[in-house]
Amino acid sequence: MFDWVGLTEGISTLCSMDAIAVILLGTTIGIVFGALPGLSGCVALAVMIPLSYGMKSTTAMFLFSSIIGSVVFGGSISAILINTPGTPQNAATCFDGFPLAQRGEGNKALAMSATASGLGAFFGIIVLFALMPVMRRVVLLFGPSETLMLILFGLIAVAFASKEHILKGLVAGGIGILISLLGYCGVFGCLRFTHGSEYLWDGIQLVPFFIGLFALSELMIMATKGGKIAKKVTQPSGSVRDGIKEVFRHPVTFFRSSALGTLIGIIPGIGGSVATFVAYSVTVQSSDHPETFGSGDVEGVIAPEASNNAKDGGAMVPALAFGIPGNPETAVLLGAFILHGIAPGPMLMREHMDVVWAILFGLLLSNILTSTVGLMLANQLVKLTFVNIRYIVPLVTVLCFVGAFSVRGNLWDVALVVVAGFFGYGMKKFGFPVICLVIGFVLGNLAELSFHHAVMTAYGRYTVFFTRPISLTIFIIVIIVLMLPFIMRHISKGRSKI
Amino acid sequence: MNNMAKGSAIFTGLLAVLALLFIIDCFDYETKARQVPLLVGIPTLFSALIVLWGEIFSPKLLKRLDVTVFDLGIDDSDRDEPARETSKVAGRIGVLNLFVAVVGYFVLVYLVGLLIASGIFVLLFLKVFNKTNWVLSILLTAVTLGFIYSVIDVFMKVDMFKGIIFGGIVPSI
Repeated sequence: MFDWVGLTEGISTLCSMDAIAVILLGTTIGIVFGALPGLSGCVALAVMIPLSYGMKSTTAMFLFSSIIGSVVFGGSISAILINTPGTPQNAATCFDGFPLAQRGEGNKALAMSATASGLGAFFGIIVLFALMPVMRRVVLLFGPSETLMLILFGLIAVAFASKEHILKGLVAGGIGILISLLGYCGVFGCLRFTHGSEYLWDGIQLVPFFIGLFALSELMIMATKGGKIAKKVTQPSGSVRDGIKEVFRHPVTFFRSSALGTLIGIIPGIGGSVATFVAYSVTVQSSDHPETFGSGDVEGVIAPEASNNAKDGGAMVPALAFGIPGNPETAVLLGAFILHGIAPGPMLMREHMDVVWAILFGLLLSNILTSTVGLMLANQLVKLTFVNIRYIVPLVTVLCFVGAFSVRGNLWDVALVVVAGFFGYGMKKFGFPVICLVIGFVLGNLAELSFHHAVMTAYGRYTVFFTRPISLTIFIIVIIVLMLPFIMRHISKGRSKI
Repeated sequence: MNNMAKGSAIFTGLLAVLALLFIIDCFDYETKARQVPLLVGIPTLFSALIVLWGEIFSPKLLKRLDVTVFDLGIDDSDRDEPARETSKVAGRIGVLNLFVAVVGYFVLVYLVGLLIASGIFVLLFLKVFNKTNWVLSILLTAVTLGFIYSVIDVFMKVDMFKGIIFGGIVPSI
């Protein structure tokens, strides 16, 4: 039965000045931390946890949920304007958001991002409300074999959808997976490919690796070319209104990506990066004009932005229902629960419904606030793309170094930025799609874990991937995706002969 | 074979070597721990070698294998390959200079710490590569340093790396 009393109490708590002030603070912190490369939502939450000691638990939850709700939009600001994903979840936004900024349509891209993020989050929260009674069944539908097939689908789809050479895409994806396997292997308890390096025990760190791959490499390309980020125009050509309209013009993309984001968010441990890349690759695959992706397609911004905010609602499902974090942010949030004397787990929704409502309303309100702020500032922020690159390069390079260092305070993370930067530059220069490497890197570890878990739970039978209905269905889709280009080429050749 | 093609072949060769090293390394681990790396590494190496072969001996082969869902008569010249453009925009900086600047910045961080190195890097970059006037260069450097100090040191309370000259401790690699 729906908890109407709790809902009413939640709304009355939200109407206090304290709550609104804390949500405003959390939203601001979230946007700033999101926009600064390397400072993710986890960092923002970790910084704010000590400051929340004196707060009431519901007020603290307003603060945390508003940070979670706003940090991803903050990340899309730097992803769109300087091709630097503020958070790992924004990496997919770079692919089409930055080319839009280069065309002078950065404000339109930011408006799309703000609208899709806000509505996507709303979608996720609605699903969270709806799913509360049936949460357990949904989570249990996806086992390791289904997860592996979903990952395989994401990798193959993007490699084939890549505008670069398909073989180079597969090489990049493979290298991405191999790099992700560096370090301690949790499944077998051994170190792999470290060659005695202590730094590599934890594997290649995602944040500095992405900063180098996206930001530093792009800065190098910019510097070698000179000019401005928006090089094809002299003044902004897009409009905020157009950006908002674009989201409503592509309802299928929006709803599909939001649904995917929520669904992937629900599955514990997969995380927002996977949600955005899967949403992006599915959008590319199902588009009538896939060739425009990667060069500023509006759907390439709507899909990842809708999914990465929708996943917050989804990630709260296992976190609130079972105490299982759906992503790193919710993991930190569960840590904050403990600090505030709240035991995460199935009892949470019985004993602390006030906290659950505080989180839901905090998420909702912060997303509304974030989107409003985003839409208001889009026209100002886009001016950054018209500043001469020669001023941007040194400042953003410093930001990259500082951002990479700030995550763990390790000097070698900065060295990783440099190495990844040159590697990314080489890939871009010689036509290896960076997106494939990134997807391989993000999904590689999880793919291995899912592979071994699936085989272990099936008592060593490798047929497990083809005997479970959902897993088999996804596998068939993968085969169709693999065959599709060859069939299409055959058909087009046949047509041209006629 | 032009310089671009040579560079591409060298880069592809490096990726093939990287995949090969992963494969060779796999054999140091127990059977199950090497399963996924081998499952991924072997096709990756194979694909890299085909690309390399195509780049050196048979570019037509590469085109034939290059099937994408978009491959329906789309002109390759439409592809946006920013790094390949040879723009004549003023203010371009050579790749080698950039390489030196970025590596030099890291060496400076190692020696004198993040804050001082960042100041020197921004100031020198603006003066040497951009020929920015002194006033603007110093102003931008000061703003950058103020920003780093307030965010990292004051707000986040992260201990900024001091550099080995000033007693900074370098974590073991």
